[in-house]
Amino acid sequence: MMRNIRYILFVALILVTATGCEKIFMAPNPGTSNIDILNEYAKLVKEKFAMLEYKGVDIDHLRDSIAATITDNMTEDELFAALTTITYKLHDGHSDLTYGDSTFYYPFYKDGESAIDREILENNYLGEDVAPDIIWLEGSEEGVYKAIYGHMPQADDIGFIRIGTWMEELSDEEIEKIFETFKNDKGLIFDVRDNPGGDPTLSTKFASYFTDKEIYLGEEYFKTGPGPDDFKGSKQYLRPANSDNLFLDKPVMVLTDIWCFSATTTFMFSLNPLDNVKFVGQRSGGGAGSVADGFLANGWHWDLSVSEFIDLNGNHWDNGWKPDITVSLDTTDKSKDEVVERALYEIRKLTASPK
Amino acid sequence: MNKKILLFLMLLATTGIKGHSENDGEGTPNIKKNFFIDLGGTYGDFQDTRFSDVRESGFGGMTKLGYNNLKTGKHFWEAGFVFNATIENAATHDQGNSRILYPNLYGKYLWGINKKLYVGARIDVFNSYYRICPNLQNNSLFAIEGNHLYGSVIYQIRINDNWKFRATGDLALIGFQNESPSFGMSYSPNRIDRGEVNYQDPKMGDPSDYKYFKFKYFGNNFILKTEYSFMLKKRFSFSYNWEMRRFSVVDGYPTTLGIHNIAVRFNIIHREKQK
Repeated sequence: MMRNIRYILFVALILVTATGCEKIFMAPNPGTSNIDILNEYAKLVKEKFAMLEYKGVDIDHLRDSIAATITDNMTEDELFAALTTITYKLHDGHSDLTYGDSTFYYPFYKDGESAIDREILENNYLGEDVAPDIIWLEGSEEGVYKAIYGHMPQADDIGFIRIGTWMEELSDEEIEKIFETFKNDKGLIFDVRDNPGGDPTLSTKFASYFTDKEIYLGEEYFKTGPGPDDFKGSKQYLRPANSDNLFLDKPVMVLTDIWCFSATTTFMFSLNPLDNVKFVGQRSGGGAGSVADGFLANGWHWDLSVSEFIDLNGNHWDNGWKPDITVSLDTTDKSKDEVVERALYEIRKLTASPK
Repeated sequence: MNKKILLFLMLLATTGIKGHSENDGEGTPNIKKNFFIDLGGTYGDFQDTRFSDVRESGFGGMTKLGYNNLKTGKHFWEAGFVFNATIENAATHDQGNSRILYPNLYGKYLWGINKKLYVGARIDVFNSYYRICPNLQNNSLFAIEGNHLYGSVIYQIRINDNWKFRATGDLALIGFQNESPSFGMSYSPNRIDRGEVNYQDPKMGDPSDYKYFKFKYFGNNFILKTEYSFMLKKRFSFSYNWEMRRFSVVDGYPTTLGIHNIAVRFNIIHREKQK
C-alpha cells in the first residue's frame, strides 16, 4: 500500500512540474483591446519616462482625455494616432512608437535650423579635388564615413575632423592616428553637424582627448522604479584618454546644428566645461536621456528615455544647447560654408600673435 | 500570498519524498561511475513584468555532458555542463521572438543518508542565462550571470530488475549574481544603484563584470531545479527536468522563467564495481 502511494506521489509531482508550474506564478497575459493598449502605453510612460516633470507632462490627465476617444471599433491606424498624442507630448526625440513601417517621434528639429550643406562642404573644403590631405575613413556602408579628417586647403595649421555618426566602430588605433594628425596644429574644428547620435562610449572616447584631468560634468538620473521619485543618479566625469596625442589648451570649435542629437549631445556636454572649446553654428537637438525599448501587448515597439542628464550648473540638455557663436548657413552661396569660415576666423583670432 | 503558499507546498512536496524512503530495499552496495551525454528537447517560459506582462514561450533543444559517481549509501557526486537553446515567442504578438542561450557548469556532492536518500549541495560554477531579442535595440539583451549554491537532495529506488527511478531536487540558498537590464535601462541594476554609469567604461553593458555581482538569497532569488529519471539497465536513462526562477529587481515587478527538458541519457562509459 505504502509503495503504491509513493509511486502515485512521484507521478503526481512529475505531472505538476511537467505542466508548467511556473505559470502559476506569472501574471496573466494582458489584454489587447484598444483601451488595454492605451492603458499599457500610459503606464509605461508614467513609470519609465524620466522627464515627465521637466517636460510638464500630466500623464494621468493625458491618458484620461485620450481614453474618452477610444472605442473598440477604432482601426489600428486610428489607435496609433491616438497613442502618439502621448508620444508627441513627451517632447523628446528619443521616445517613439512604431507600428508596422510607421515610427512616430516628437519632431525635435522643427524649432531649429540645419547648418550644413554637404555639397558646399565637399566642393570647397573636403573633396579630393580641393583637399588632397583630407582622409575619408570609410564606414560599414557605402557613403557612410567613420571620420573625415586632416587639413583643409584654407588652413594647413588648423585641423579638421568631421564625424557624421557615432554608429560606426572606430578602433583605438584609428582614433589615436586621427589625433596624431593634429598634434602640431594650433587649433581644431570638430564638425558634428547633422550627427544624430549612436554610441555614447565612442563620442566620449573622442571627448576624452581634450582633457588631461578628470572633469566633473553633471549627473545622469536613471529611473529605478515606477514611482515619480524613483531615480538614482550617476555622476558623470570626463576622464582623459591614455594617449600622447591629447589636444589640450588650444582652441577647439565644435560645429553644431539642430540635427546634433543623442550621443552627440553626450559629446557636447562632455566638452562644455572646457574653456578652450566653443560651439559654433546652430542650436543642437538635445536628446540627453538614455533609451529603453520594448513592445506593447499588440506588438507595437516603444522607445522611452529612462534617464535625464543635468549638468554641473543645473542645466538640462534634453531640449538642445545654444551655441556660443550662432551662425546661419547661406545655402544660396555655394562657394563657402559660413559655419566653417567662422570657426576658422575664431581660431585665427585666438591664435594670432600679438602685434 | 496564494503564490507564496503554493511555492511552499511545492517545495514541501519535492523535498518531502524522503519521508517515504526508509522502507525501500535497494540491493547490494556498489560503486557506479558514468560518463554520460544527454540529448533532449526544451520548453521555456518567460515573463518580465518590468517591461510587459506578455508571456513568452517556445521550444528548443538541450545537451548535457557529465560524469557521476555513486557509492550506494555513501555518496553521490556529479559534474556536468548543460546547454539549452530555445526560441521563444510572445503570446500576444509576433514581434518579440527571443533566442535563449543557457550554458551551465555545475558540480554537486551528496552524502548518503541511507541507500536511497542523499543530501548535499550543488554549486553552479557558472550559470549564464541570455535572451536576445533581435527586434529590440538597447534592451535586446536580457542576461542573468551567476554562481549559486544549492541545497540538494536525491532519492532513488529500484522499480524492478531493469528499471530504477531517481528524483533530484536543488534549491538555491545563496547566489552571487548580476542581471541586466535594470528597471529601464539596459545596464545592470547594481551598476545604476551604485551610481557608476560611466560611458567611458568599456564594460558598461557587460553583465559578466564581477564588480557588479551581488549576493542574493533564497528569499529574493528563487531557483528550483528538479529532475526525474528512469534508468534502464546500465546505459540509458530517460529524464524530465524542470527549472524555475523568480526574482525581482524592483518590488512588485517579478521576472519569472521556467525551463522544461525531456532528455535521453546515454552512459558513454559505465563502470560498476560490487563490494
